[in-house]
Amino acid sequence: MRMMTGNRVLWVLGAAAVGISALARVASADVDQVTTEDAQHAGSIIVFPKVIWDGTRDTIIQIANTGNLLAFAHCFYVNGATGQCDETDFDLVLTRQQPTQWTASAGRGVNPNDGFQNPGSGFDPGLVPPVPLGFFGELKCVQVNEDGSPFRANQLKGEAILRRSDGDVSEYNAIAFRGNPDTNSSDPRSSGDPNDLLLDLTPRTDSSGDDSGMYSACPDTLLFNHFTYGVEDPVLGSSSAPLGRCTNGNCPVTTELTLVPCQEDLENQAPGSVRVLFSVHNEFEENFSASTGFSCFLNLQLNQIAPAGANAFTAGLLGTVTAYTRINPSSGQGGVIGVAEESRCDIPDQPCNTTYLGNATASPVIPGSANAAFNLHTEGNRFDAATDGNGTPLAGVTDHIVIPAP
Amino acid sequence: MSLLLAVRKGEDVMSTMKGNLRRTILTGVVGTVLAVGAMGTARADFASDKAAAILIYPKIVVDTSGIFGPKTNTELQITNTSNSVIGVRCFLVDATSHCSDDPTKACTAETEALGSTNRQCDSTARCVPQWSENDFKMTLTKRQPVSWNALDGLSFLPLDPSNPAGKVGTGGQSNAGSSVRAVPEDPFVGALTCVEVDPSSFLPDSGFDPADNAGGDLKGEATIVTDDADQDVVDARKYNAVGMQSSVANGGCGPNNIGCDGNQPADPNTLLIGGSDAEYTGCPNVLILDSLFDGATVQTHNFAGSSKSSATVNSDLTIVPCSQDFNTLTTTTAVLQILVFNEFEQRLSTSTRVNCFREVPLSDIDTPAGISGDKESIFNVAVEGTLAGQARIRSVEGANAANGVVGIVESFFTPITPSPPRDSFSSVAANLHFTGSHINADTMVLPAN
Repeated sequence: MRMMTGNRVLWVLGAAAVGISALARVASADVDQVTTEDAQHAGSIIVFPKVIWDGTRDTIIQIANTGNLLAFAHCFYVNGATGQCDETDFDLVLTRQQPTQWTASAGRGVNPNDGFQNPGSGFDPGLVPPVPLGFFGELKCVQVNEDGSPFRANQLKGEAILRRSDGDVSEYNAIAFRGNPDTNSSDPRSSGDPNDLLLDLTPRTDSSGDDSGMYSACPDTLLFNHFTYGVEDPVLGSSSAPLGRCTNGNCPVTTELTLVPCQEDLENQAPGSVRVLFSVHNEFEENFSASTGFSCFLNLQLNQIAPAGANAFTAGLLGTVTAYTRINPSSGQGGVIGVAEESRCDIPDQPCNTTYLGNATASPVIPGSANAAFNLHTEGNRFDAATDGNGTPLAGVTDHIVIPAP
Repeated sequence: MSLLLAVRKGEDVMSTMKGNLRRTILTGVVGTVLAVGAMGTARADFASDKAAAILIYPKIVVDTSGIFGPKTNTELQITNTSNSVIGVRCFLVDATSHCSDDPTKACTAETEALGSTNRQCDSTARCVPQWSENDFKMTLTKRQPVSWNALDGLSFLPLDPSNPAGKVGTGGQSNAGSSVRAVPEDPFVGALTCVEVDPSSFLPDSGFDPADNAGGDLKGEATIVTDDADQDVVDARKYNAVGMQSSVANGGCGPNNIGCDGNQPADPNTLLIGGSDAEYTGCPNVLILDSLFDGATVQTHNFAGSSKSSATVNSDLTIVPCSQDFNTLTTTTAVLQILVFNEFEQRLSTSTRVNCFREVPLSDIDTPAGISGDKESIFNVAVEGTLAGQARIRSVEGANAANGVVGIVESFFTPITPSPPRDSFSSVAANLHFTGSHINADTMVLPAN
């Protein structure tokens, strides 16, 4: 009988191994060989750089588990409006392929009696707290195991919809960092602390064979196409334009840029700081530049980026409808990610000039304006780009995200 | 090698047309190096947030008379992200349907649906889909952005010497000979595909920017702008063009047959997208669409436990096949198998077809066109019971063809409360997520230049 039991155990183990092997093969058909951050694949860290609840604009957050296994996530709201980057965290549990959603102002409670077609309908993913009024910052979610330790299974994706009280909406995709499931604390650059997440996975480290590269590295360059600041909208803005809405030059396009550092120590409440350089190219191949530094969170209208006196983003200086801006961190500094949001100002009977535009802590609230958010393009990776020339990363350039111990 | 390094640093070496010969040689060198795997560290991407060698703008709309809704036009942007002069060939696909009784009248499945109050065709006529193509080419100087509105196109690019308002670029660079075709009709619904080409021969080419290992130098955006004059409201939604990088970035075969193993088509205008002999990154196996279900009511602006603003959401999906024959204008059909998950982890499924171009409200994928029957759709909150859903859209692979597709989603929010100061919809557009790849290739055929 004991032998039979042993055989049965072996048979079960063997069957399980075959099953797992088969599952692995099936799963591999959908495995993406991606080593860079992006806004279109699922990942193990997802970042929503722009979340707002200021009484005028609210944010609808959508997160989904794209995998066929249960997914756990540890999420962090980081409030950039306070200047201190206060952090509030919570946990999510998503069943296979489960989508979920909530609004920043309301969060999501756990209530089995939500019924159907209501905001709380469906399996509640956990208690999601509301953000305080005046919140202006980011949401970051890290995939973890049930015990709260980081888990690189690349199952998370997300979207954010910014909605103004009068109904205007604007959407972007969360930025996903791929985790390397083969790498644990064996990454040679790891401090050994499993909660110290290194953004050092690149095509080079992925192929190095030394079991290195934990999460995809931040981009080296953000590629940012935008309308020159304040230029008249080519469709709405003049009597000769196709839609011909505005005849007095009162339909400018403005753009707001939001950046967050990739580096972030959520355990010690030490936000990352970085100085970024802007290289602005107009349609005549003329090149202008600007720079600015920030800690934790940057949200600026383009005309507010230094130097203020001769702003490199304005239509008056650039002289063309659109421009192409390359955004690089200063030498020796970590990477940044971000999103942009255009606003088409439309007040037919009033001049719509820069006095109507938002400021560092408030998004455009121009009545009647139409906002459209979009993800920035990226190029290269910060980890490989910032080396000493021999492939060794420069000190301080490897981006870390440190999360609190579970 | 010093020359290569100079270019890698992004200096002005390649910024003039005089550099074309040197660049051609350099491209060969780079391609060969990549082909033998000396670098072997890059990976070509299919993405909408990376520069690429092929761009697809899945949806362009022009309707300045407001026949199908508020007056609409589309603003398009394209940029050369590299430090080199590049050529671009673009193919504007007109997928506007017309009435069978009057080919001058445009229509959609929705306008002709049962119960529609906006019929364009006679009650006995059908709305007939069509596909035609107009192409144009341009030369972009280094790092040059260009924009235009779809209705007007561009007669001259900014650095065209023929442009009375034009200038001459640094080192004499110019956009001479470049123009952008206006849409051939108004209303217009369709897509735009742009392929990076050599600025001299106008044959398909890899990118030149070493920062992305020559994966391609094009990026683009489209903004659909509407003007609801009745309600005195404008609206805008924006998405990134979908990009396919050259496989040179993988150490693979490039579109100029650089580093190829002989299995690629001899015709340089026949492009293999994906597969074992890929010249460009393959289209994804599965598109992942997260959206709020049609008919869902979102409540925002929660003050002390009470929502002060709400809206009803409906979404449109636009899909175009990756295989396109711009030479013989042969359409490609793809079958889509779609799994839909709600917040209860419940799964439903449906399937549909795409021929050349398809824009469809989500609830019309599995029910008749128009609002009739929408509440029986698996994309509708009335069936699913939860606000959010995840759809996995898999294009069925053929025996010899990938049948890949790309697309975008648009969501339209109609305010309910407060008593709307904005008595019109507001909309968003978003790029779809994706995963996996096909075994076979998609094929894109360009007409000879």
